[in-house]
Amino acid sequence: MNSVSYFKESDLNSYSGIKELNSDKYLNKLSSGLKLIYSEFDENDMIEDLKFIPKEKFISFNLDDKIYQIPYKLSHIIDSIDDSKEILKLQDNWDEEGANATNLLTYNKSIFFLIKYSKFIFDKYNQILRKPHIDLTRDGSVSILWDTAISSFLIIFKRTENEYAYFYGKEKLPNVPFKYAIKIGSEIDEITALWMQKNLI
Amino acid sequence: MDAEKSNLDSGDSLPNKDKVLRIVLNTERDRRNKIIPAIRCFTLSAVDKIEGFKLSVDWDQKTPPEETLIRVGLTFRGSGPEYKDHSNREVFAINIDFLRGLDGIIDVIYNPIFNDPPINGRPNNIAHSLVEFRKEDYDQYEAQIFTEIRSYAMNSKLIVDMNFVNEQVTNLRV
Repeated sequence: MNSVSYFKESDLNSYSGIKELNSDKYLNKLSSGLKLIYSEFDENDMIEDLKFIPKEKFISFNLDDKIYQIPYKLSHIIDSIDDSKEILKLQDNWDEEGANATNLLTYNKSIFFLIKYSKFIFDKYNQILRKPHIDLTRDGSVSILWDTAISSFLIIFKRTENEYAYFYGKEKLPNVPFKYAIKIGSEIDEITALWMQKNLI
Repeated sequence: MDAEKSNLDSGDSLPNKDKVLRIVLNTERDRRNKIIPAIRCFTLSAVDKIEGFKLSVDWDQKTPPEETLIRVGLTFRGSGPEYKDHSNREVFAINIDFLRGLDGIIDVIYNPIFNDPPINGRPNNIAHSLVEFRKEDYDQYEAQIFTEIRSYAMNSKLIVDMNFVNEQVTNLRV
């Protein structure tokens, strides 16, 4: 699997303290799913890169052949990502009405957004986003939906080479829309993050 | 299914007071996550865009929901001879006035499909209609419009007599 230019690991690290683990020793031990770092490895297994981790539980996950960590309190976000992997198996015409399959590049763009914003909101506001639903649209784009009792938020990452991902948020009572876009691969948009931490927790 | 004479011509706008029916595919994952209907069911495929940014629906004045699902069960997958699975679909009714009020929708028009003689695996559909979307800025408004359509549809699922549907599909398949 090739690395993808949309993903800047430095973006994740700079905001979140997420540390990429390059060790083959760990790659061999971690499966593609999530595992608790401290429950999985004893101290002798620790490599130098892990020494920065505070004494709390983290989970790790695979994205684009690299392993990242996020706080255990965001494990439901990883659950939603694991659940969404089914959409990568769908072939063209998956609905028997001419719908298109998605691809790994589009999928990874959406997952990178989800992790980046979830972690930023956790770090900066100490807020935990609710579990989203990741799906594809019929043109092969990937959507992330939050739908809570008080608000909803839908963002769509196009399968085509779009520079932006457009979204629509809505507070339900009163009905106040929040419509905007993020530039893919750019720094965190703090206005969007602020709205998300207020309405999607 | 006998064709009923329509008083509208193909391309005419449907009346605001009526509804259109959208057939929705529900997957095991949708049911597990309680995301019904899923956003994707109302979005456009690449082919829909090539053909003018139009979404297929049925006009409720020309078909009961059972008949929409029977037509699915009588339609070939691709060139056939295998038929589509109708059992994992549900039908949602959406008010035409509501659709026309959404920014990004141009119109809802009548578009009957009628072949004489009928073509096996491609049943006639005198209820067939199209929701026309504005193509110039589709990417920019789609998140909003499909959020609104799904919110509406969450309360508009139609109860369908699946025993009747299954019986008809079995009897009518060649």
